[in-house]
Amino acid sequence: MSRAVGCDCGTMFFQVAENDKEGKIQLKEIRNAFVELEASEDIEQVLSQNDWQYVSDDKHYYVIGEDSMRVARMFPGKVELRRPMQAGVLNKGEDKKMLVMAKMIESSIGKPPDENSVVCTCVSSDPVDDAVDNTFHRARLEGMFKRLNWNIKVIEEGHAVILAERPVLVEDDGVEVPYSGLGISFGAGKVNCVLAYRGLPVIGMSAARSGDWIDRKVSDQTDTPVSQVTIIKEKKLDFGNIDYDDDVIFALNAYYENMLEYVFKNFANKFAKVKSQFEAPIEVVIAGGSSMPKGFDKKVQEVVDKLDLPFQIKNIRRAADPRNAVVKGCLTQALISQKKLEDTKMFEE
Amino acid sequence: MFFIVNKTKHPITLGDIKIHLGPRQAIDLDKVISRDKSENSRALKAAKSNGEIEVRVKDSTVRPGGKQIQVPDTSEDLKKMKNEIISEIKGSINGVKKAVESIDTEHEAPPAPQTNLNISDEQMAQITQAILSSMPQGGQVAKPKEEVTEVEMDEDTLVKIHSRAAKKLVKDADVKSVHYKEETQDNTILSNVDELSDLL
Repeated sequence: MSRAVGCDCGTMFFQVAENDKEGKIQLKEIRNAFVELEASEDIEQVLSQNDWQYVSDDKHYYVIGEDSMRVARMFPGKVELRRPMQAGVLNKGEDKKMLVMAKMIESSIGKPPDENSVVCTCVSSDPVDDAVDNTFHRARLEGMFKRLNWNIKVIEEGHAVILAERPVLVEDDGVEVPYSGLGISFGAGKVNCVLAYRGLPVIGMSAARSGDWIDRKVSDQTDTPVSQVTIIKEKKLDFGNIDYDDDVIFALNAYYENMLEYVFKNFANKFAKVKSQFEAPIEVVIAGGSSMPKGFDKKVQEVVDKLDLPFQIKNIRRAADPRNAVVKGCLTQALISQKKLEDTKMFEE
Repeated sequence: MFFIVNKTKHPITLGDIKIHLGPRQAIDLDKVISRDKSENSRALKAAKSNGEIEVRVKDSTVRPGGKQIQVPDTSEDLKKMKNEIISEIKGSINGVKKAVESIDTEHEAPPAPQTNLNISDEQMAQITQAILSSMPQGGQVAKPKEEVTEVEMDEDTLVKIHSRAAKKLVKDADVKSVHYKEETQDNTILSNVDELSDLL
């Protein structure tokens, strides 16, 4: 039986979604990080005793996922935590990215059972603030799936939010147009925005200021290690209740505000540049790991209210499942593409 | 991007560009036909003018389908310009030569020494070169229009190259005991799949 799989190769997490036999969604997630260990006589014994997950080539052992964080914490200064992805694309400074990513893909989705199986993954939209072109990243990513003989569909990350969340635009004659609105994914490496109309992407944009950028800035300003800033952000930050005496919380609030202004101003420029004609107010859906702090949707509303945007906003809402909205959108597209592929083949026969 | 929307509640067919749009359906024309064709479509112009079709987004440039590396190529233009100047100078000098000869004949004057007008091609090239090098450079000279040579890299080829690279890189690699954090959730996307399949 054919398979349809959604796959989000994110900067922080690698996620996979697929429908199971009961019609429920099966989600898999692994931290997209690794540490390298030198080969030694007893290395395999050490790895298996600790039940660490790893990838190996003929010379080295790479502990991957959450275990890589544990190893990095156990041997501070001796092993370095490395990432296959950086700022939304394959990390150009990491020579083992392909090995680790290709093996993660292989172990998570395996090979397709037939020629009608489809995997859908996502990439960042055109960047506004750096010269990094997605072409190379996209081709490498597709190559890693093609190696296993999957049919591949690639969509923009913000578009995945639209497909999973179904924002609605109400035209001036009162007609509701589904899958029309602005989908924003606040990831670790990048913020991705797509404005869609009837499920088709109209304007896409990505900005390199997101979770990692905020953590680094706050760490610099407060002299607090990045790892500690990340923990405070994930566990303590509440935009509805900012403790202004806490330096880290105060800085997090300030840099989140800066990031949101930057994203919406840049999107407004792009909207004006393409002379888009969305006259009806737009619904905005927010998702992604960096949108998880409490009250984030209200923070977005507060920032947007201060800006003079070339479009009206109907409402801002958080995705029903912000952490998994992107991978669910990829799964939605994979199911549509698989259906089309089967229909086409049936028609040809 | 050339994004149009059928504003009506009935289907519209743009015959000359073979586009069929369902009620309130939208399409990016740049993805299906060339910009040249869409801009010259009479059916589209008519549908726009009677309000049936609305243009939502229209870029000034068309995004190419394949990946393109653009290399400005001016060498051919320079050669062409040089040859034109040489032939123009040759023509002018020959004209002067003929005029002098005809004056000489009319006045029956003794034949003038011909040596200075009998210019070989090699000498002509030297004169031309000297004139060209003495010509003002930079902004004072109208630059030849840049011609662009496009080297297209097919997307499928690019993916196949990377697929081979990935195969080679992981050839000797092995993956052991990978544990994923797993979760089962109620399905919230099946209705979206049906709705989007009809919509797109």
